[in-house]
Amino acid sequence: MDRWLGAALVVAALLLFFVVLPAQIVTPRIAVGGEVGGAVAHPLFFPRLIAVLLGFFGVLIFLRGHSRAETLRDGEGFAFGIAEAVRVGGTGAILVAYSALLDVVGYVLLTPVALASLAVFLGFRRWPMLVAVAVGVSALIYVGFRFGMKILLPEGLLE
Amino acid sequence: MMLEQLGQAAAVVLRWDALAMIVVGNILGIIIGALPGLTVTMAMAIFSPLTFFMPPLVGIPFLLGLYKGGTYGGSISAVLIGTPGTASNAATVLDGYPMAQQGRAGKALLASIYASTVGDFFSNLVLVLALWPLALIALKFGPPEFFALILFSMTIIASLAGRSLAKCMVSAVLGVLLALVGIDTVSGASRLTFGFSDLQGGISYIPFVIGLFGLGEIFVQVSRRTGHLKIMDLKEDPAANRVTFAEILGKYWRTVIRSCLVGAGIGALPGVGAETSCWVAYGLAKRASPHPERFGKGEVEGVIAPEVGNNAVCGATMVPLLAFGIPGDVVTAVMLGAFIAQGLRPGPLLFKEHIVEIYGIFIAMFLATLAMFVVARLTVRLWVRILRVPRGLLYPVVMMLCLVGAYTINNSLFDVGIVLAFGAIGYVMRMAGFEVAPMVLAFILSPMLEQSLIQSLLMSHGSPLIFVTRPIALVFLVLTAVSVGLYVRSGLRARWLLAADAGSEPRDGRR
Repeated sequence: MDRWLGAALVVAALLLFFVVLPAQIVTPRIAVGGEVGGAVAHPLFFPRLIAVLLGFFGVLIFLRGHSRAETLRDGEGFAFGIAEAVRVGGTGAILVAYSALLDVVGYVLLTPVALASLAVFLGFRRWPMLVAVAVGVSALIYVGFRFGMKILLPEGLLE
Repeated sequence: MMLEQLGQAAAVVLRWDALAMIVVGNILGIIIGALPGLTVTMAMAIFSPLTFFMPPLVGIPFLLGLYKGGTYGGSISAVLIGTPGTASNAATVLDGYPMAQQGRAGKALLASIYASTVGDFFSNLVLVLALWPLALIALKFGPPEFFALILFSMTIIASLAGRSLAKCMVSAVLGVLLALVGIDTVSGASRLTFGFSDLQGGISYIPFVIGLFGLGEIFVQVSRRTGHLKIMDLKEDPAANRVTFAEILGKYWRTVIRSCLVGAGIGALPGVGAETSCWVAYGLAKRASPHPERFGKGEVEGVIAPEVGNNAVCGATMVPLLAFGIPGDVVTAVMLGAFIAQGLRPGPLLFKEHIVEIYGIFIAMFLATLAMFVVARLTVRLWVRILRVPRGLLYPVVMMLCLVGAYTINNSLFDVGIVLAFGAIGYVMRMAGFEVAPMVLAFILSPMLEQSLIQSLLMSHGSPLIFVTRPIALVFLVLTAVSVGLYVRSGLRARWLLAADAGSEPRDGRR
């Protein structure tokens, strides 16, 4: 695991240094601080230092991967199974859908539905309490923001 | 003049809305701290956006109440279910839970309230007394001194390393890279925006921390299907559960003083916080005790020491934040965002430009401690019910608060997207064994580091010797070298011990 991670970090550092940073950082036409300042105040100066550091730590992690003792000490693989993936993925999908629809449908209509969907998805089945909490909490947040702090939440279909 | 400013500050902080928000902050903090899976940092991140719409001396005291209440609140679940509500109460489990099993849950909870209050009060005094001299020193700092101090603070990040220093450092480097996004303050060049105009101003700090600490942590909790929690009852045996403030201060005064000093000392160091101090205070109390064998079996001193130690951090972590603008721990790193949003840039200039707010924060610190004591003492029997809140209902509510809170900062769905993205990143990092706290601290510190580095090199016409010819900068660079050296040495020693252990193990793995 460490060897793969280390190698990936070294590749990422090289890509950053030679490809991403030069492409994503526009060199200014006028150098700040004259000739000497031009080098240190250049917008690429600090990011490239960081890319070098990333590569250095990548090499360290790669070398650690060869050490049996260190591998024993870590014992920290990526603990992840299908059940976990479904639970986290499903929760994330509901949240992404909520964010995508928030402006269109509006806070008032969408939030109780999203809250209830999340609770049902996470295994909560006491329906009266579920409805009460979904509606009650959504209303409480709305009242707090709208009237307490004078912040408008998206109205969507109710506009 | 000073009395006049103090009076102005008191007039604001003693207003009903500020007092009410201190109490509300404490109640929310205690609830969140008490619920395993929800952390103080998460609470600060989620509730920070609310404070943007309050006056500074109402919003900041609310966060202080949240911080103190949350730091204490974790002891409730440590005692009643044997699981610390937050990492800063982990050591409290060792004796708090056995006490509850022996029918002394009430005594353990009362001892933790009294101990937390004493530690917290002491920490407030440290803040008030240490801040002025440090701020005067900080006023003399130029870019080279700030560069060396921030570099030293960043090496302290190594102390956040869980099992792997290299992974901790990678996390920190990623934090620095993320901080590069946006317009470079020195050259004005656009960096790493990938064509998104929303990224020109950089990655918004509060959605970033809400994602990493709020949503990311909830994803971790969601992925673990937690079983039924066994909650201990508060027994009604008055003799077994009696403990008084006077007893804590009289009988255990050595432990109290020692733990106060440990907490305040650790809190004042940039980058280290309550999760370290509780263990150090517990370890020292056990070592100094005439009955170390009682520790871990329900010794009340084993509750007092970590609880004094963790709350003694709360005021002390504010010292580097307010004096130098460098957060004392990850909680104050989140608080820094709230300060900046209020137009209060922590650092030496704060003392020149916002002295009334500084006095207000001092007063609010003491009021928050008082509120923590009163709320905790009056509601001690309520927590058994709070701990029974179903997780299937609690987590959706927290997730909604994360998204809605982020949206309200700029009325922008882009910020909600940042929360979702960093929620996912925080989850993957935790699952892969990376710490997220170094990423946040590096994200906060690196713009200051870059700016001070470039300003220093411009001052010296490109010569790095400026860092060793200025005495204060040199002291911090030496401290940086010492701290790196000590960490590498302890890492190598642990590795040798492990290698020796593995070498003495028979080949088939049986001993």
